[in-house]
Amino acid sequence: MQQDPNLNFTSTKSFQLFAQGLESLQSYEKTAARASLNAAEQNFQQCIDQFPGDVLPRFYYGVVKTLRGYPGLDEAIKQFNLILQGSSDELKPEATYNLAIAHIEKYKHSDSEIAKQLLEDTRKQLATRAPDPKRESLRLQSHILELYLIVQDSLWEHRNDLNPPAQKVIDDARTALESFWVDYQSTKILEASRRDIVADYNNTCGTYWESVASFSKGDERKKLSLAAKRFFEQSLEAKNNWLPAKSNLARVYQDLLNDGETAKRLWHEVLETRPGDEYAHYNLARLAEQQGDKLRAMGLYKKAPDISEAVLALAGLYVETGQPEKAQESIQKLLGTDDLQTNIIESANKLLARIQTARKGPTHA
Amino acid sequence: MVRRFACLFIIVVAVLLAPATGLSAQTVTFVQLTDPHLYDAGNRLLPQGAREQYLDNRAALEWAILQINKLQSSGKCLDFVVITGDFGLDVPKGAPAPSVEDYSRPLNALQQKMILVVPGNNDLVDEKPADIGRFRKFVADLQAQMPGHTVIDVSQTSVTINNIRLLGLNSASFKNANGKDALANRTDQLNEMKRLEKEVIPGQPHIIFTHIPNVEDPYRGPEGNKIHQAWQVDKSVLDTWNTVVSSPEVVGVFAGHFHDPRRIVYGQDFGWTSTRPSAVEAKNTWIAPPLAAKLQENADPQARGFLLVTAAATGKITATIFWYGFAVQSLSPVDKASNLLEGDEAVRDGDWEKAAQAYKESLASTDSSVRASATRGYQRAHAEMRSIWWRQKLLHNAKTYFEQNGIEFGLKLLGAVFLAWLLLANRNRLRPLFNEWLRTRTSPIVMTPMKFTADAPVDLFAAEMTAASENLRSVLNAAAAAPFAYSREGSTLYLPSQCLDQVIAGLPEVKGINLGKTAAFFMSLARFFSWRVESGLATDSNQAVAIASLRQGFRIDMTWRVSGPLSNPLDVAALSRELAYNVLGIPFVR
Repeated sequence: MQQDPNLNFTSTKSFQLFAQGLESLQSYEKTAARASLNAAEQNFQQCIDQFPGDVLPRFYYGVVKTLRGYPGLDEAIKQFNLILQGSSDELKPEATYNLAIAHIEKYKHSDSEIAKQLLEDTRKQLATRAPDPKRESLRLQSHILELYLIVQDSLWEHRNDLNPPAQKVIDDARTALESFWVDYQSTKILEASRRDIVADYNNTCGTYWESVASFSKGDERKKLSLAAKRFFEQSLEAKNNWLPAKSNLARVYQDLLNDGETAKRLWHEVLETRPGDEYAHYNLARLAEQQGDKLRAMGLYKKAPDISEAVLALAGLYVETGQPEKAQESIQKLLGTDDLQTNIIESANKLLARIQTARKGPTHA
Repeated sequence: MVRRFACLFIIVVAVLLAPATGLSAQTVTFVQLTDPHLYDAGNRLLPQGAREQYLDNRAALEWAILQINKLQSSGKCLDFVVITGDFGLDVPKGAPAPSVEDYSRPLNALQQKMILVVPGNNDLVDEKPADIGRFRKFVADLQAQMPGHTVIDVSQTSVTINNIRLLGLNSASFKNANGKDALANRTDQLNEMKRLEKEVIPGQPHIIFTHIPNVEDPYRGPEGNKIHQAWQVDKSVLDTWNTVVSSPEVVGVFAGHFHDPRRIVYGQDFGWTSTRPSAVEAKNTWIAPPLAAKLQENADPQARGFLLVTAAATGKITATIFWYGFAVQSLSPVDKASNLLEGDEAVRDGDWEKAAQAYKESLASTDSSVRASATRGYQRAHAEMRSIWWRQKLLHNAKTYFEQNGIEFGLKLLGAVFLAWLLLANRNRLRPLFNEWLRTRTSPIVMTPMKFTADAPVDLFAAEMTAASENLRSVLNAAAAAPFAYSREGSTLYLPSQCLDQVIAGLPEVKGINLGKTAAFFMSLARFFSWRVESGLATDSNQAVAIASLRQGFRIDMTWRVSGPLSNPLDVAALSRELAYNVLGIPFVR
């Protein structure tokens, strides 16, 4: 096989550190031992510090940083961007795709927009190369993630809006999903990547039907909610205990099927796998609040400080429980953060105005 | 007048040639092989070790036969080949009887048709004289399977070639179990000695072939303090021998039997003995090195080979030892190896003066391989220092140089500029060729690691190097086969598996470890001219240093050095892994 010279190493020391890092990374994948991830990170970091021109260690450093989760995402984004600025074409599709993942995992609207563009770029880059199962896997994976982001941004984000999106937007999303499935079935891909793609596809379909169910009423809403539930369950069948699908399923039980108990069980399962999961805490807080357990709800909301809806709901409970200073402080902190959605800003301002009005009341009295 | 001068000229030539022709007729040239030990290694070694030693010893015998044939092909006129015992017929108890074919097959390839033999102590069960019948049957069977050759046991039948009588002495039992059996065996041994005495014909030159020489045995027991004579015979036997060996008719005694790795032991230098042999014994006795690896398994280098002898009736003997030095793969440059390394490093730095100095110091090494490398390095360093560029660099006699070589230098400079221009102008066409060359050159073979210090656990190091390279291959294969990783949020990341396929394809081959010695030699010869990695391990108390270098022929391209504590085998694994990963990275270095 002809080697891409851009993938070569500056010195054998660099190769040695890279190989040891790879070994530790594989150990982490098998055992999930944190020490292995630390060792891998240390090796790759040492490698790129000493040999900044070497591409493969940098790529894997980005991967390790992404595996670290939120604290490592900015560094991962930096590393993948550096690779894309370099001259190694061989790595570009994977680097672009992984960069998109790092942005997606930041769970911010602006990052979601960037990720969509990057996923499209990945597909374009792959279109210029001879197809093979590995490349086709990456192409389909990019495509389904892109569709997921489209469905999320154009439909799911608007599920609680007074006015649902235009029918054309809903139909376009459905057509895109159907086309994707046809494409998937006619494309030769790596067997190992099937479960991921199928899980992502079902998760996206579930999100689509959850959104459409939210726009509906009565029996239609229930029927569509069950469809969403079925897709999320199929996603979990493809990828056992996959947390995004499990969270989505729990939310469907909670918001559309009004089955609080099942939702609670599922949220606890999520927390068993990932104890600090803020989204699970936020939804459990909502359930507690619905059941009138404000104190418990406040405690749970506090465990989701990065979710703006949770901060807002906590501020509301502070107001209700006679703690306007805490509420004001929370809201002001929330409004100071970047990338807030318009509806959150509006709700926060409304609540702030309510607090100030309430304060003025006694003064004037 | 002319006729008278012509007659005178013919007479003078005839007078001059007559003694010369007579002298020529009274010399014999022969090769002495000894101690092939094909069958008896199992008496000292476990079955696997014995099997390996059998292969090693057989390879040495075949090597010797090849060398003898080459000697003859190159014009050397041999009169016979003699094998002075220890065929190894004393097989371990319960082992099958030795197969004569093991000897007849290679010996049949000998161009020389006359083969003389005598028995050795390891041809008799428990070295008992009564067992001689088995040896004689073996010789008869050998002759039967070699109809084109003449095989003679000279301890049974004397032979005369070129007017020199060739006698054999059966000394196979002369150790006498460290003297304990001297009395019991006295009659047999005295009879043998008397027979030999009678074989000596007054006025005729004689050469005696025997297995055990009558000198001090270099083997001093496990503790190294047991100094003893090789012959532990009764005084009557010894007296008879002294009469024989002192007789003016005996011009040489050729023996074998020793398995000492010191090369000084062989030939006719008895400086290593604590008790010198008698003057006449020392003058007449020649000792050939063994063919077998026996008692030299761990020696580095070994002392094995054969003796090429020309013996004249006048008593003048010329003997040359042909060393079988190639079977040893790993040499132990304990002595002066660091100077060699220093020289290699200096070569990399282009500091030829320093390199020459370091190589010069290595030339004093006791190890032949170090000396050989040092010689090459020293010659190369001086060749470089003789070059224009070195002289320019040092500005030595610059004025004189330019006066003498100005035109030559100018022409060379012009040529270099033209060549550079040519390369630059055609760089686009040359680049693919260069890349291809680079690709092919960067597939080095990793050779068997060497010991830099005597106690370095080099076998473990070699095994760990192999394990590390296999481990890396499996890690890369796994990474290339599964191009996914899952993030904390459960998203699928894509790994550059196609790039890793390239890395795997370029991984160098780790070879040379655990090869049979002969196979390793021939393979190493072929590899010498391809890219190869030589490595080794040195230890000092609880520290270890592992060094590897990338070489082609005499050229050194890269050197690595890793060091660390050495308190348990895992430390060797860590060092080996670090070094192996560096070595395996060679093909991927820009």
